[in-house]
Amino acid sequence: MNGSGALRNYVLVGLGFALMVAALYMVFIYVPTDKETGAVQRIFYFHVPLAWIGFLAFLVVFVCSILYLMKRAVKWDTIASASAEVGVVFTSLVLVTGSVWAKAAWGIWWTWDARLTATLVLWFTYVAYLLLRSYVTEDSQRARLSAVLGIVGFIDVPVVALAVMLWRTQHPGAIIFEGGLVPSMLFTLVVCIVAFTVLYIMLVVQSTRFRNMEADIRNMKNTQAD
Amino acid sequence: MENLGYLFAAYTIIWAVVFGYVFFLYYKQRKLRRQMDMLKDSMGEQQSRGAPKAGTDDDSG
Repeated sequence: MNGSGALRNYVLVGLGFALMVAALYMVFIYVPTDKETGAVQRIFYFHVPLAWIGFLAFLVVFVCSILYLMKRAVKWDTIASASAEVGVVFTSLVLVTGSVWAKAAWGIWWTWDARLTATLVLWFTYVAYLLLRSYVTEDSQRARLSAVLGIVGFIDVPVVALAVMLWRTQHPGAIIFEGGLVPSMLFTLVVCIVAFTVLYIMLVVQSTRFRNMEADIRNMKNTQAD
Repeated sequence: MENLGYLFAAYTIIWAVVFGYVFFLYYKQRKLRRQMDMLKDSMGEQQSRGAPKAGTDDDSG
């Protein structure tokens, strides 16, 4: 890593840390407790940003996959795979935190509701994407096949996002867009979304870096073998 | 309040997974860096000894 790269890295880590501390302060101290659901409603402030990052991560996979198929440049495949991995981590957390909230609010851990089911399908799709990458050994074939899956799999993202409008679901509706949040709650949510977006960028940058290192090591080994 | 247990569980899981993933990335990067240093060293040694003769690796046994 060169000097400006290291500086950029430190700035990103510092910004992410400061935003995350601010987000935690706002979630646990600043924002008022919801009168209907009580303290457990505070899960919402991390659950929604986690879901947003899941969507963003898979959007990045979708865009990079298209770019890879158009230009055949390895960097797009590398970014897509890094973003898919981070997306799977965050979507796993969406499913788990949603389940914990459901147990507190509905009395059940899981129900085959449209949004929950579509999110689970999304999770399986990108786990399959990562498995595909680990099973195919030939570089260009792996990149091509996973790009196709990255594009096709993205179809489920709008389904998850619009599920609460398209079907009658048990999952709460789009309260953010319907004005169901008081300003302090909305502000807290925005800070959390920004904090998680910075965290996502940090993780993708790191993950991309080690993928590039892996490729460099493979090339060096091949050069040495020749 | 009963709900606090769920709140605590949700945030604990989030931080455990995020820190776990960050640690995984850190560990993997450190391992790769070590591997890269070793390769650079061995390539440097090869260069200082001059280009290896064809079939040297196989014959060294």
